Amino acid sequence: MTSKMVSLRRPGAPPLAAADDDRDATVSQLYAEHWTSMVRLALLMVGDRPCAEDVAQEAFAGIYRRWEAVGEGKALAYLRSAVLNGARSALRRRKVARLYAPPAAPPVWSAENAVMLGEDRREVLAALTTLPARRREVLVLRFYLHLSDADIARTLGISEVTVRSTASRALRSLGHKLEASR
Amino acid sequence: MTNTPYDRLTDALAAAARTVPDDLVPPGLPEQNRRHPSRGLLVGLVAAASVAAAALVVPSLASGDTELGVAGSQAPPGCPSPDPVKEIALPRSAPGKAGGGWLDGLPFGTAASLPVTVMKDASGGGYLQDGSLRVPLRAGYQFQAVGRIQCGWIGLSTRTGTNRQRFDAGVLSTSGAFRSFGSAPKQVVLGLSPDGRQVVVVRSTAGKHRLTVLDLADGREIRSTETGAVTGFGGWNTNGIWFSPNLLEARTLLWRPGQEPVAVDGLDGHRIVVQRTTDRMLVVPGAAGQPDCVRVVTLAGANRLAEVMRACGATDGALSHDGSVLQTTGPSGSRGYLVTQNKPTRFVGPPGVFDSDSAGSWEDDEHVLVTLSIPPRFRRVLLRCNVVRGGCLRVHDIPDDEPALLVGER
Repeated sequence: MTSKMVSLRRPGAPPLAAADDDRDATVSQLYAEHWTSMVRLALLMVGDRPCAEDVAQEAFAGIYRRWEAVGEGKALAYLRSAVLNGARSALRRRKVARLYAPPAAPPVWSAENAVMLGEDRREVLAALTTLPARRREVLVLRFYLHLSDADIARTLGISEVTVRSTASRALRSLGHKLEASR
Repeated sequence: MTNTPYDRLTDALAAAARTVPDDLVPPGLPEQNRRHPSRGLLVGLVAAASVAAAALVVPSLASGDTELGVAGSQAPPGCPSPDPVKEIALPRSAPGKAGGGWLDGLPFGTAASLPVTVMKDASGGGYLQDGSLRVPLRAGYQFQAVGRIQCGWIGLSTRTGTNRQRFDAGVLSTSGAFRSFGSAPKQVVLGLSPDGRQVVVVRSTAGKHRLTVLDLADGREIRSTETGAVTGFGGWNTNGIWFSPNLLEARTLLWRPGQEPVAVDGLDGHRIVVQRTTDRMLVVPGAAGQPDCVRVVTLAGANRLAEVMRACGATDGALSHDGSVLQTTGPSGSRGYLVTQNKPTRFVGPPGVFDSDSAGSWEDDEHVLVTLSIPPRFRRVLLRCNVVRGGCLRVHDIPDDEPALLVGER
C-alpha cells in the first residue's frame, strides 16, 4: 500500500522553500527598517529600554512565526499591535514582579532622567503613565505616530467611535493631572 | 517653545522616543547589514522565535562610530570645493562601560552644528567639519574656527610639534587653503565684527602689542590701538570692541575704531563677555571658581552699564546669540534663565557637570555644546544641552588624547 501525501497548503501557493525564503527576506527587511521605531513605541508604554527591546523582540518573533496569517500588507499594523499587547503584558507582569525586584532601569519619565528630557516633558510623561493602558495607547498612537483614527482603530481592534471617545477622555484626564501637579 | 497641551504631549513623546538612538542595532543584526539586510541577520531573529515567550535577549549598543554629518565635500554654491578626506571615527562608549556613571547612559544626539576640528591626535592635521562639509587641514597645524565667513572660516592656526608654537590668524577656505593675515611674527585672532566683514587681532612686534582691525576681504589693516602683553578680549558688538589691555589690571576699555578707547564703569573687577549678535552683554565673576552674581547688562551712555537681570551663586555664564537666554554654571549646578522675563527655564544641570570655566558654545538660541571631563580618569565628553526646555544628549565621546576635537564658533 502506498501512502498518499496531502498538501495542507493553499492551492496555488508557491513551493514551501520559496515561501520560506520570501518570509525570511521580508521579515528581515521589516526587522532592519522598523526595529528602532518598535523599540521606541514600546518605550513609550513601558518606560525603560531593556524592557522595550524585549517587547519589540517578541513582536518580531511573533510575526516571523505567524507570517502566513499576517501577510506583507498588514505587517506594520500587526507589529504595532503586537508591541502594544506585549507592553501591556509586561506592565501586568511588572505589577507583580515589582513587589519582589526593582525594575531593570529607571523609567524615562523618572526624576533620574529629568536631566535627559527636561522637567516639563518628564511631567507630561509621568502624567501619561497614570492613565489606563488603553487611553495611553490611543494617545501614543495619535500624538507620537500621528495615526488616523481609522488606523488607530485597526491597530487596537476597536471602533473609530471608541478611538475618539477614548482619546477625548484621555486628554481631559491628562489635562487634569497636569493641572494638579502644578 | 511648546504651548498647547497637544504640543506638549507631542513634544514629550517625541523626546522620550528619541532617547532610543536612531542607530540602535537590533540583536542578531550585524551593523554592516543594518541597511542592506541579508539572510545572515535572521540568525538572531529565528533563534529568538524559537524561544518565543522567553526571548529575553537584552541587547546593548556596544559600540559604533559617530557620523559627523554626510561625508560629502560639496562646498556652498560659488565656493571652492575641498579634496575628499577620510572620516576620523570617534568611538562611542556603551552605557556603564566607560566609568562615566549617569553620563554614559545619555543617548547620542545629532552631530554638532558648529564648525568642529577633528584630529587623529593633538599633533594637528585632520579636518574641519561644518555640517556636511569636511575640509582637510594642514598636517602639523591645529585650526580653531572663530566664526563663519563667506566661503570659509576665520580662525587661529597653531603649529604643533615644536617647542616654539606659531600662531597664525587667517582664513581657512572651503578648499582647505589657509590665508594668513599678513606677516606679523605673532598675532592672535580675537573675533569678528558684528557684520562679519572685519576681524580684530592682536599683533605683536618688537615687544609692542596692538589691537588691530583687519578687512577680511584683503587682509588690509584698517585701524589699530595700543594694548598690553596679555590682552583680554570681551567681544565686539555694535557698541564697539571691548577689551582689557592687561588682564591682571582688571580694567576694561571700549574701543570704537577711529576713536580713542574709553574706560568702562561699573565692572568692579568683573569680566565682560560680549557677542557680536546682540548688544546685551554678560558680566561674570573675574576670578574663576569664585561664585558671585552674573549680570546681563546693556550700554547706557558712553561708558556706563545698565543692568537687565542678575543671577547669583554662579562662577560663569553664557548668553544666547539673541541675548534672550542666560546659562550659568556654579557650585550648585547649572541653570538657565529667560532674560526678559527674569525667570528660570526648565534647565537644571547637576553640580559638577559643567566646568566652572567653560560656559559652552551656543549652536542656536536654545542649545549649548559643552565639553565635560569626567573623573576619575577625566574622560572627555561633548554634550548638547537645551538650556530652555532642559535635557542633554551626548554628541561625542572624546577618548583621552586621541582623536582630538576643537569646537569652534559660528
